[in-house]
Amino acid sequence: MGNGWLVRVVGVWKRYGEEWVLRGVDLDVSSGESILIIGSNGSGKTTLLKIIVGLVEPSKGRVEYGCVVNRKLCIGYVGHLPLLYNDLTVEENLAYYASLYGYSDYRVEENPAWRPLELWRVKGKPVSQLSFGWRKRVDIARALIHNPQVVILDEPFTGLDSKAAGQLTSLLKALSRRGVSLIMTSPRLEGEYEDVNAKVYMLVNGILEDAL
Amino acid sequence: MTELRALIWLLKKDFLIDYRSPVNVSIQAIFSIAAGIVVGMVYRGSVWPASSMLPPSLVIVILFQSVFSAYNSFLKEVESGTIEGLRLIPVGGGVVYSAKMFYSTTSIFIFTVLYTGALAFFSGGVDVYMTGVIVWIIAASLMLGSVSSLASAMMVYSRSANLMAPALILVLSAPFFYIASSPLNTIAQGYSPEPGWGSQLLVMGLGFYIVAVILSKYIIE
Repeated sequence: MGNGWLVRVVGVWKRYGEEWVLRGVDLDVSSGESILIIGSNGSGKTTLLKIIVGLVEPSKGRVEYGCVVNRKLCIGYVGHLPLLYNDLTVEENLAYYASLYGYSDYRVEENPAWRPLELWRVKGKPVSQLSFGWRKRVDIARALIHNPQVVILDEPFTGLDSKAAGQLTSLLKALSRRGVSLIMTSPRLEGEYEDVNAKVYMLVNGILEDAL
Repeated sequence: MTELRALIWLLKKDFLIDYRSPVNVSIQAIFSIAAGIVVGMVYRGSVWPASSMLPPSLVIVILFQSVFSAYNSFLKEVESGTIEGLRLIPVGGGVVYSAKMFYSTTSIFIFTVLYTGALAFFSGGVDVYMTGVIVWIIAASLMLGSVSSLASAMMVYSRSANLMAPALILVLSAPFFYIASSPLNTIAQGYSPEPGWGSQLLVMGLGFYIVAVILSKYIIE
């Protein structure tokens, strides 16, 4: 681990066309730390997360990883839309991704999200038959398959009912206690994030500011 | 070993999705059978043998099948919103590309053979060098499976993918057809082409596949 941080964002700028959506963002995330980035729609939150994950290249600046394993094994990512196959069941989706992370005999019951998010209820159902909230829960389980050191969640509570939101809060707190770092985004500060005890930043005009 | 297992799972997933939701493969099958029926019926009882129509129609059918395969490959992952999942997994771009390429090659081969069978049946039999036809289809499927998967991968972030993918397939496969047309004409006349023609075409397909695997690192990862 590099000087206590797991992920370090150094002077990241990003431009789409003529518009700069990120203007020199710096961020250090250490082990077990929870970060919440708040910003209005289109403020660049998702772009920043995708740059951290490696899905989008920054126009300037860089992201460094202090993980002991390679970036793809270190990070778990939950985006706006679930990365699931509609024609496969919940169990098949998780088994498929687990096999690609190198688990040959993966038991879905061992997934950290399996019991907390009550995924056993929809185990044999095709994803196409699930509501958005349930898909989101399954997608969170997908992101945790490889026990990542950093979990990145883009508006994780969007689309969840109050019961599921409570269950997700408990899961995030449990992950944080185990030393997993969390980087989350939200369009506004909600109670769930306070429960997770996240350090809050605001993304305004492409600049990341400490909210406190 | 891990990469081989990943490749098998990537393939298994694609075939399972096709089995559960067979719309796309049904379109490919209907196209092949319908083309075989139409061409076969037109040539049934005509003064020209159906085998004379085999080379141009085979090239057209295999090109159409490779365009279908391109839409069914990486572009389908874009449509289903799962392309980012392929970029996040700790599996090399070459493995992901290889899985898509095997999938495309298999489907192009099956549906082109289906066309040939339909043509033979509905025209009352084509008098060709059948072993040669099968070897030619295998080599062309290998080449076009690689081409269509590469075109599909290159068009992942293009807004004009639906237009550009077929154009790219035509351009990338043109040199292959330039060389492969001569043995195909010989086969259609019922003769065996020069020795080594099959190996030459297979090496071309394999060579393109290797180049595409190297390129896939820059496209998919």
